[in-house]
Amino acid sequence: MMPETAPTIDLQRIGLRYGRGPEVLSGVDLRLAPGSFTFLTGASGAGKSSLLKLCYLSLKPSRGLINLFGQDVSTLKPSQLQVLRRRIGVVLQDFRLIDHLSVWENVALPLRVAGRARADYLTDVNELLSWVGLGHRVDALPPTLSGGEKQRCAIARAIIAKPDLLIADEPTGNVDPAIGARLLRLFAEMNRMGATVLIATHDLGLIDEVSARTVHLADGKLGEGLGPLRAA
Amino acid sequence: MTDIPVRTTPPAPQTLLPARPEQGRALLTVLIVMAFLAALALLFSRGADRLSDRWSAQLSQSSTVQILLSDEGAREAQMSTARDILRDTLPEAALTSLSRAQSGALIQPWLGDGDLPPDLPIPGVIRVDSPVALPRETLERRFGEAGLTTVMDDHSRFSGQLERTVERLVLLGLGLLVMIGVAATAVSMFATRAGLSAQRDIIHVLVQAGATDGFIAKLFVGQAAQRGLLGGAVGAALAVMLWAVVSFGPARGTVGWAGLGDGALDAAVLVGLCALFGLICALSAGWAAMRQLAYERRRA
Repeated sequence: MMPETAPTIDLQRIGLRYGRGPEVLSGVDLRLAPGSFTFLTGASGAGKSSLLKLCYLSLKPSRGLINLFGQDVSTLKPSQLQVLRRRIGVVLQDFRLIDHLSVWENVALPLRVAGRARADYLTDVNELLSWVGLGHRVDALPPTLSGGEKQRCAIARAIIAKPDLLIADEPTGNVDPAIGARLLRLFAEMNRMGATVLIATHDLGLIDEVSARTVHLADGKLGEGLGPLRAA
Repeated sequence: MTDIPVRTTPPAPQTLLPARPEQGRALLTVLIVMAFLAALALLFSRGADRLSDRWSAQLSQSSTVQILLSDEGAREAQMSTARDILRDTLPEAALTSLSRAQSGALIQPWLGDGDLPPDLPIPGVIRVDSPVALPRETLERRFGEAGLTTVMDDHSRFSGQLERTVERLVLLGLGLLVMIGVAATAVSMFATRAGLSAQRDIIHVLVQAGATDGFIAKLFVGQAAQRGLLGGAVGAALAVMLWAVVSFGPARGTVGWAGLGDGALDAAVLVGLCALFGLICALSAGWAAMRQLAYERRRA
């Protein structure tokens, strides 16, 4: 990983509304230092997924400024945005696996998109699939996988390109505690190698596993700590 | 951690876009029909052009000379003089003199099939089959010097009309080709937009993985090119089969192929048409995909 001086994510006075609806995010400021590990918590519908979408450039804010890796994303050309996206690994809540591609192809997708030769990443993909417990299912299609297997496949896809920023939305929601702990160790390992990690979760057990900064969203506002989640 | 990866060579790359066989079949059928019509238009244009050339060549080799007889009694003498002049001017030509009865039969459509009065002056007719065109001015001068009044018909008026008609038919065929090309472009663009819409989730994943618009557009270009080439090849093959029936079946000798040489030449042109079909489909798909992706990005 390249050493970064600028924050990996720097959100300034972000506001977000869908259409003419009310603001789901209002005046949000968030700075994540390079190599940091952060949990994002908040009640269902608090706007966690929306905030993550802004961070992985799937949404544009209604107002405010987004800097990623020190670059103001509003000034970047589409091709430059794609270069930025290649530095971000994303695990989505609904996995978004491509149903007609095998597990192997799904995981290798970011490397294929980046134009890498297949022979170059054969070992990486095999090792990672083995690590997440899918070594025996490389040729399986996603519709035949269990929820936990899909989730591990999605996580493997997010980290295969060794991203500088890893964003995960409820990454352990569908797996048993043992697998969840193993996946968390994977995130911690990525973080130890220098990746900035941002995980949205309800899982207090997961938060307790890692000594990391926690921020919470409530009523569209971002605050430090667990907020009402711990109290509940 | 106990899993042992068994794969030692990279798997063959899978296509990133699903085949969507049902929609694909319907679209392919449309493309086959369009390619079939385009190929028929092309074959018809080329066939009409060749037929015109054949007819023009035949017409240019065949002419008639009418000798307007001053007196029915002088028929043989004046016909003989005219033949001598023709033989002298066109030594290569084959001359066929029509008898009075044969000449009379030619004007039956106007005068009916009753017996013609014996003193009715019926022009003497000599048919001239010559590999070279009639030297009209020389012949007119020599016939005049011999005191013969003649009318020469080398079918130039008819062959001119024929050529103009065929030119229009060829233009019509080419116009049809252009129209079919425009329709193929529209179909390919529509299919690409529908594909982008249907594959929205996959496109989202690709975008999130860092795929550029060009990368995504290429996926649709590849699909469209394959579809266009296949549709073009099947459509053209069907047209060739129909044209072979036209050429060697009951309609033999009309606009169809006169021989295998014509067929081979047309087949080569149709290979070009298939390639053009694939190219049109590919380019229009690429253009539509780039535009649609830019539009979606502006909307996001």
